[in-house]
Amino acid sequence: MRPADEHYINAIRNNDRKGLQQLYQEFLPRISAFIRKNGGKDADAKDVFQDALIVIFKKVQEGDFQLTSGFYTLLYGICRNLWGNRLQKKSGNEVSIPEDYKYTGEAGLSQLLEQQEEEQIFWDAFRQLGQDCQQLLQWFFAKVKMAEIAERMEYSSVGYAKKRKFQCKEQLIQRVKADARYSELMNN
Amino acid sequence: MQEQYERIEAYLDGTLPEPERKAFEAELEGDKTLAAEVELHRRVHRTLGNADEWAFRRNLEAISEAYEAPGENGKPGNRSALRLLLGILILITVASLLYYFFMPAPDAEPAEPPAIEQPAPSPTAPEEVPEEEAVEETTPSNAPEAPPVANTPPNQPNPALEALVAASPLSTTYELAIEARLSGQNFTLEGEMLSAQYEDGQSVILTLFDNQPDNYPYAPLHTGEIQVMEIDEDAPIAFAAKKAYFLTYEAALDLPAGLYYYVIRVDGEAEALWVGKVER
Repeated sequence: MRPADEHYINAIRNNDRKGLQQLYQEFLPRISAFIRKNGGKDADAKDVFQDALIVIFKKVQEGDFQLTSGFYTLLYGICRNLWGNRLQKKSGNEVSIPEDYKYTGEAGLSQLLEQQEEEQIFWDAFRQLGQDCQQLLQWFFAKVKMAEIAERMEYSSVGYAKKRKFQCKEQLIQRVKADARYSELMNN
Repeated sequence: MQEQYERIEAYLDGTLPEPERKAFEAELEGDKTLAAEVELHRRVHRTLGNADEWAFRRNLEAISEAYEAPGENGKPGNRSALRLLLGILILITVASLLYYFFMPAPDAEPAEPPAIEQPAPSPTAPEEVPEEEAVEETTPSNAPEAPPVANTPPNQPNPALEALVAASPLSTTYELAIEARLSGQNFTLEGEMLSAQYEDGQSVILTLFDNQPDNYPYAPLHTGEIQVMEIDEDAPIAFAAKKAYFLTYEAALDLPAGLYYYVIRVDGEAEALWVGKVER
């Protein structure tokens, strides 16, 4: 692996703020140019870029990650696939991308890409919640005890914390169900 | 409803007592709606319960929010700044022409058009002017010779080329994503090109420049033809019927340590498709 590529992979592996900032400076403009030329905006590029980094993060977390191409080739390939999938969904599946066009440079990557698309529905729904619900649910999903959550949130009782947790989670679940991508997900 | 949620959560956590768990599983067997609900909760917990991913996402969101694309705030590569500069040049030209037509010429002097006044170069202007415009601006005759420019240190970025690097890919008809490296004497390049316009057999040319401002675009260090291979026969409709090509190039170059820029064009076309940089 080239030293620069290793630097970027380590920045992702270690969640290193400075290294990740360099990665944005170096590669986001090129990805933005690609997305803009294929019907997207800079905001789409930022989303796709972030999702691609998360895909690589998960791949690296698996522990057996071997970069078989240059880092940018991998990043660009993932962005292209993610954006292609989104274009396809935007167009109501009228647009199709042949399987052999899709980037499959790293083993197990296509599975991670599918997983990423699926999980994005949950993250998008989560981001629409109010700040207090987001905070409460973050601790709940991290398995912090309800008594501890009640204390941190300065609720009057554990019973109220449970009720509030239910309300927040219900909002989350309803938002997921209202997402057009959800029915497609459950049918797969 | 709250009880139902707590039962599903206890089941997923494995904290539902044995008799209740068995009863719940029996219920799941016969109730597809409940089974789908449990599956949804399971996926939500799996996705949003990953603490490492939380931390990573938070970091990326903060970086993304603070990120300014190259070209924002007047940095090199800002196309709107280029337009502004071009607009100012046009205004100056129009003002000069108006002056020429409407101001009376001195009696004793033959009517010669006054030299068009050049705008005083601002410290950032050379970074923002593309090469073609910069060439047009130079007056061929009776212009004072530019003062000799001291050699730029070999690792100092060339602003004009840096702007092109930041803006790459530069073409809408030949979209490139290129990686190159210079390791010892080996210059290697690989990447991809998406294009509906490229015709088989057209040469794709690479030219390499050092970082000296005077050498681009007239004094390349090295020129060669890039190998182009079509990746697949079927054009992906999602990308406007463009075909995908794999590009590779290798050369042994004996270069001193420094910063180098490579420019990729289709042979016979003036427009650069991609400008990248490598360092030794």
